[in-house]
This record gives sequence, C-alpha cells and structure tokens, in this order.
Amino acid sequence: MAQAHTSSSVDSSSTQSIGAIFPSEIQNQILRHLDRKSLINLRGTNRTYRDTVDGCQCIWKIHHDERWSNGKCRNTWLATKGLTHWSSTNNWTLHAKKFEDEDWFGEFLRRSRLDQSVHSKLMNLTMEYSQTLWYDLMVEGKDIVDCLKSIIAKEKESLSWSLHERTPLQVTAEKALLGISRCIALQEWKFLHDPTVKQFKLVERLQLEDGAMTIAKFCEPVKDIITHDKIHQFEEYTVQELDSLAEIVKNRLNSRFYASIEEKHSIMTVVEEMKFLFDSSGEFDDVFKGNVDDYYDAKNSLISQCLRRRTGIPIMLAVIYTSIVWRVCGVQMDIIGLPGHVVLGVPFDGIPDSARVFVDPFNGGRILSYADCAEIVTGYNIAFHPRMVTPLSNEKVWERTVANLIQSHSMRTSELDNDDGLPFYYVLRFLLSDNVFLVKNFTELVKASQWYYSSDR
Amino acid sequence: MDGDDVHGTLKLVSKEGDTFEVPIEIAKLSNLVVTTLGEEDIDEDDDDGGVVEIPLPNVKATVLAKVIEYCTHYKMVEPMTPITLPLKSNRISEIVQDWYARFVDVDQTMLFELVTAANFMDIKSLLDLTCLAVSVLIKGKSAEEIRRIFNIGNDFSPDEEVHLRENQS
Repeated sequence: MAQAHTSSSVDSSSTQSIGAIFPSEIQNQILRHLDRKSLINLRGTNRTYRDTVDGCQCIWKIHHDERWSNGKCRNTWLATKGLTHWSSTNNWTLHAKKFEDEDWFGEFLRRSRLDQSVHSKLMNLTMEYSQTLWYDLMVEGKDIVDCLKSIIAKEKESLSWSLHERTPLQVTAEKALLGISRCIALQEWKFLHDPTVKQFKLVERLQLEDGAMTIAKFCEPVKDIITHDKIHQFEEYTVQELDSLAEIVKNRLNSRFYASIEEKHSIMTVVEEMKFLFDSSGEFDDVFKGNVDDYYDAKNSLISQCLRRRTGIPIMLAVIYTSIVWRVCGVQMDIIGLPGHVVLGVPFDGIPDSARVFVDPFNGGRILSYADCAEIVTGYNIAFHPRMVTPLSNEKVWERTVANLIQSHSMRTSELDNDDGLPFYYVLRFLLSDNVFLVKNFTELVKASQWYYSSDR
Repeated sequence: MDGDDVHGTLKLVSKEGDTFEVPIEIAKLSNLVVTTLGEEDIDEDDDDGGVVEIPLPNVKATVLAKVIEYCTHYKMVEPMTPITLPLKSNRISEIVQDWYARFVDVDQTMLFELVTAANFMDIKSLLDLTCLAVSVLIKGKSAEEIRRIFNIGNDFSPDEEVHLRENQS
C-alpha cells in the first residue's frame, strides 16, 4: 500500500466548525446524539456553531416533542371538524399556537421559559388568589399541562411518607390542571353551540358523540388527567371503541349477506343486527345493558365510561347506539326524548306514525312500534301526545345529558363537599347557564367561570 | 455478477493517486462502490483481464487506509453492532464493540476526515460510528471546553453574549 503524506491538511479542519465542514444531513446526525444542555453549550461557542445549531430545526423538534408530550397532541378530536379555524378566528385558545417559519428552537425556548414561569405563578397563587395569575395559567392551556404534572409528581415524591397529604403547591397545581381541562371543554362547548359553525364547510358534520365527549372532558377528574399520558386521553379510546364496535356489526352483516364492503345495508337490517351488541340473550359477552342497579351513577352519563363499563342510562346508550349505526350505514337516527325514557327512531319520510319504527337501547335494543312508545309514556302516568315522539336536536340531547349529570351529582353532594370546593353539580350548572352563552372570548370565559374552586372529586 | 467477482479485487484510488487493492466483497460495504460496479458490469461484461479502478478524489490516502481497515474488520472479523436511537449509553465502548470504539479513538482531524469519507463513500455504519464519536467529543462540555477541543475562537459581540446567557437556561 502506498504511503500518503498528510502534513498539508492537518491545519484546516481543526479551525472550522462542524457546520463549515459537513453537509446538513451529517450535522443533523451528529447533533441528534446531543442532549439539550450540550446543544446550548455548543451554540454558545461562536457564531458559526450558533447558526449551525439553530438551523437544525428537526433536532429541536425532536427535543421539543420529547420534553412535552402534550406538544404532540395539542389538537383535539374536534380539530378535524373545524374547531381550529373557529378558535383562531374567534379569539379562543384551542388552536395550537403558531410560530414563525417552523422555528423549533424558538418554540423550544419559549416553552422552556413558560415552564419556568409556572412554578412562581403557582407559588403566588398558593399564597393568595389572583385573577390575573389564574388567567395567565389558563391562557397557556395545554402548553403547561406537562409542567403542572411534573410539579405535582415532584410534590408527591416529597411527601412519600404521608400518602393522603397534599402540599399547598400540589393543591394549586391540581386546580390549575382541572381549570385548564375545563376551559378546553367549555370552549368546545361554545363551539358546539355556535350557530355560525353550521355555516362553515365542515369536513364532517358534528355528531352527538362530539358533544358527549366535550361533556366528559368537563367532568374528567384531576386524578385521570395526572395519571394518563395525555389530557383527555379517553377521547381516543372513545373513538376507537366506537369504530371497532361498528366494525363488528359490519363484519357480521357482510358475512351474512355476502355484501361487498362498499354496499350499504338497509337501516332495518342494521337495527336487527345491532341487537348482537345490546341483547344479553345473544352470544356476545360484552353487551351493553341499561344500568338499572345504579341508575343515578354519574358515570352512566359519560360516554367513555359507558363504553368501558358497557352500561349507562337510556340517553347515553342511545348516543352510543346511534354513533355505531352511523358508522355502519351512514344513517343518522333520531333521538326521541320521551318523558322518563329515551329511545331512537328510524328516520321517517312522511310515513304514517303507525308505521314508524323505534329502538330501545336501554332494553336490549328491542324494536318498538309507535304504540309501544305511547305505552311507555302512559306507564309513567303521563298522557301521551304525538309531539313526544319528535326528534331532539343534538343540542337538546347534550343539555339533557348535563341535566342528568347535575341530578346525579346533586344527589351525592354531601359526600363531595370539601373544605374549599363547590359541589360539582353547582359547577356543572355553568354549562347550562346564560353566562356560558354570553361570553364572547376567552378572557370573559375565565372571568365568568368560578369552577376552579370546585372540589377535584 | 459472476463467481469471479466474489473473489476478485478492485482498486480504490485516493485523492493523491495512491491505489489500494481491495477484495471486492470488502469494498462493497461502500454503496458508492456497489453503484460503480453496477455500472461497470453493463459496460464491460466480458472484460476479464482488467481490475476495476474507482477514483475517490475526496479521500486522502491516510483516511482511505483507515476506511479499508474498517471495512476489512467489518467483513472478515465481525460486523459492527448497529447504532440505534435512543442511545443505550454515553460511552462508545458500551454501544459498539471494543474494536470499533478504539477505531474512532483518533485525533479530531482524522475523525472529521473519516466522517466526510464515510459520507462520500456511502458507508452507513461507518458514518453512524464517526458521527457518534464527534457528538461524544461535544457532549457534556461547556462552551469554553468545546472551543478548546475544536480550537475555535469566540467571535461573539458583548450584546450577543448577553443574549446567549438569556437563552442558556
């Protein structure tokens, strides 16, 4: 092998920066092995290095996403249905904040500084409540969820001997988490009720399940927010579970009728097949049953809990039922709010009442006639009137769900009262009050709501 | 490709014009070599006499010798444990075998040249290893220490220094 002489080249590279020598994909490969502190130190050496490090946006994006798990999921399920656009044009805080030119380094610094500010704000709030400080925390919303959770975790560690104690800082951090969670739910609630939203060209129309999830968000207990990776993690579960239940029904229909996947089954066939999921006399182990044993349990009104526990009250089982049917055949069933009971109606097109078909998800998905509905009503000693079988709007279904929750919680209020908390039913009333509909922007929303003093249940 | 090629050799030519005769199997760790051979195959299929020469105008002979040493060990002794993210350790010897850890324990000039050569010759595992070695040089060092190691001057203005300190936290 030939000997080569190297003397001429020794001087050059040692005085150049990585950025000057290597193409950018190699820079990325070197820099991605570095921790954040080393990156910051490297950019502190000289201008070339600084520009090299700052230019590696994908590296900063990786560090950003690692440090803030909620950074990856700042958009909620509703974001696909026009929420983000609505939020950014109406001064709400639900949209992920935009930053210039994909400047992940700048975003990383912004959020680092934000995290640092949270601790002192909480400390001050612990000593004395201040609306400004509270607002400052609420407006950052999901951006500080990770930080609040880590503060809570640290506080818990410091108290490892007394498991039932909470430090004042932990209490305040938990209140802030709960406040943020409910602020998000309230904004969605505003969105769902905004008449101008109907004018948007939405990707998908708003469904009953959307509002049911917003209500469940508002009710999500702080311990769930702390233990789950993401805030409102149940949302993902809910959508997946509805999808997979619809898949079960679709597969059964397809195998029975040898239909192609694209072909739509008639609504009556689907309703018959839905008994598989709701009728306990069938072979399915995991059927939905009406919760007759503990009817007033608040969990019966939360969509994710109903899916998980396979039980609920009539209105929530109806929401689940119709969400599955919609996925199977694209038919939007009517929610019929009989006095004292809720059933579903197969959409009718000017056919006589006597020919209409109804379903009772609370009772095994039984198929009912018009006369059966009248009988249910008279069974409550109420005179039947035809207007009782007119469909409820989505908004009415959601309002009725909240009313049920208020009732459930007010029945148990004595055990939920704690030293500084409002009973939760009182907090829930906010959803139905004029206040929530009058507020025009996020600032007013935070001012108008007092839910932060509620107990964390 | 016929059987002769498997046992045959080719010549790698350094920047200075030095030629290194290398078994084809070993040289093929470089994707540049693989691509070049592919083209040669079509052009001179029945040429059984000449040994293929591949010019590497960016790679100095000292560096090329190191690269060939790497490829030989990789093919003849044992392949390097692939470097996967996230890293299992901060020490190279705990990520790859000792031989490979010692292989990149070279002066910084050589290390930088190896990165460039691995990139040019498209040898992924060597590029991974050398990039890792460069990052280890930087890791956990203060700005001042990095300046010393890389022999670089501080060209920040006082204003910029203030700004940097703000971002340091």
